[in-house]
Amino acid sequence: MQTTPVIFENRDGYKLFGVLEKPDTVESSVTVLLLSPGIKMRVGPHRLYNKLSKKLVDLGVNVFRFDFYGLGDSEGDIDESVLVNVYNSIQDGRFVNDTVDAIDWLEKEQAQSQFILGGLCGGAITGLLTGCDDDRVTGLLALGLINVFEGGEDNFSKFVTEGHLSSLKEGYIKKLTDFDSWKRLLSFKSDYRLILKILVKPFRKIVNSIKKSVEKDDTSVLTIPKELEGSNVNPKFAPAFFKMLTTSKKMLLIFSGADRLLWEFEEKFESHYTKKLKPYTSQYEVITIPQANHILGLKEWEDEMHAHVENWMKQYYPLKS
Amino acid sequence: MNEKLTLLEKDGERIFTVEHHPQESKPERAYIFVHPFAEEKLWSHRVYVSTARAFCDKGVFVARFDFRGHGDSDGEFLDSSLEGHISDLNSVIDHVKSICPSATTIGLLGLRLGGTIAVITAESRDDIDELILWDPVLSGDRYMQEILRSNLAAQMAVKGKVEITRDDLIEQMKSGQPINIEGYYLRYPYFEELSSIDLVKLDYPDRMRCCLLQIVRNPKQPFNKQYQAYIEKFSGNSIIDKAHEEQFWKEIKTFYNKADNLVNRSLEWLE
Repeated sequence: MQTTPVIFENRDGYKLFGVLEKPDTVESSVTVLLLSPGIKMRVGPHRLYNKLSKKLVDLGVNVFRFDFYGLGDSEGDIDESVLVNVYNSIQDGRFVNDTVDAIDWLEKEQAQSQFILGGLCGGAITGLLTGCDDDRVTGLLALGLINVFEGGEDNFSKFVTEGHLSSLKEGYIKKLTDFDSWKRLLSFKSDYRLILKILVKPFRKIVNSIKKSVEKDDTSVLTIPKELEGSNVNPKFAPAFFKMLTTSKKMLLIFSGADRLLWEFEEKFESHYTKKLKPYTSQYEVITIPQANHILGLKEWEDEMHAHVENWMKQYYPLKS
Repeated sequence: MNEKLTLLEKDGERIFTVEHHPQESKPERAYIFVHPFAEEKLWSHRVYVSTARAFCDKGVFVARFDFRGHGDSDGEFLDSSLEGHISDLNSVIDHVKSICPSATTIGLLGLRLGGTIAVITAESRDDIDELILWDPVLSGDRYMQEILRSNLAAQMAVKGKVEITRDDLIEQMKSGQPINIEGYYLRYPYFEELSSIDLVKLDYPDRMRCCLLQIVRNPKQPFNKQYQAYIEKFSGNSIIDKAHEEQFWKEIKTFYNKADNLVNRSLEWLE
């Protein structure tokens, strides 16, 4: 693998730092940009991106990992001091321009013509928001794609998904025999809104299923569905997702089974657009890695992710002989 | 200020290095920053970058690098060793001396385990004059117990209970099976090497000055007695002080891109 450290300027004159990795034996005009997750830099948690990059380079494509402005080694500053606010600004598209600038640099300086945007969480949503509007992008490789804004701990019970509630229920059942948990409950330290939400879950399920049976799937992709109004759903998500589909771009969405983002995607996106998504099912693939955590922290989870990425790449970006 | 990315060759592998060149054409002081362990490196990265830039603005040449098996350097974390870290740091120090010959004072700065590795390396050479240590790990054994605790916390988060105890984890490593620490796989030889570190037992030459900054979340927090005893091992001009900062080497609610109190106190000491 050829590794080249890179410094390029974004449109605001900040120097952005990155690493370009290329196969030793083949020349490719396809580059996968692995976009930094959240505030972590171009290597990702536990070097997730370095390992994925090796895998992709073995499949015959180039990989570019770089730091957005204000992160990693790059120039520039991020003024927000609260982490949740930084995450939300990323989910709102803060780094779309940097991604376009990176594509411009690769096109001009490295003669690259086709781009796949990839990344974990914040990197994945940046890829979606950029890719939907850029003709040079043909695919999205998303790990833990996030379709909501962070509500913060104070709003946890307000925005929690049914899937997440189910997973929490088991924990609460276990606590029934725990003295400290009862002490916590009786000393008003517990999240009562959350507990109430768990208790009324079965009734809510019945009401929701009745509602769903009479609903028509006439939701416009450009507006937030009525039932999601007031929720933490990212209004840019659905339009971007459908734009990727209507422009024939391919998407591989890999979710971790123990990560709330899977439930957010299912409950606050997929289930509201079932009919509209139907014609496009061949264009995007949703994979769940059972029990995996958000960062794919175990080797077996990572290996499984690599296997899915390999299949997808071989199907849509086969190595040219 | 000019920043340059370099790949240093070492035993057929590459060490990723970032050089911060100050405007002064012949800087008299050069610092090499030594990063902390595993994911702590990632969380503290931006503070290292902003600190390097602040040092550079004051005319100090700075080099930051990734140990092999970390960041953008070659190698796997699984193959990490203390010996390898010292060897990598020695290579970077030699490289800095070759590209910045005007520097008459060479210093090392490190946070947590980065500070510890800086000390061990400095002690084995005769050309390191200054050490800036931010909350250094004095006892490797205690630190590795803390690292094991993070595995137990992860078990609690995933399985709701601890299935593999601390002792079991050590036994697992001894039997040749690495254990998982936030996605990084740790082998017994590395664990053992790090556990055996005891900085208090080392002797330090008279020429070596040390600025030890204890990071406190509350300014009223008392001095760490072990730090107070440790600084006595260094000669005059060595100091211990407290710096009010968050624990920015782990996930916290604040976006921590700079640590002004630590940096200002470190620069004050240099002056």
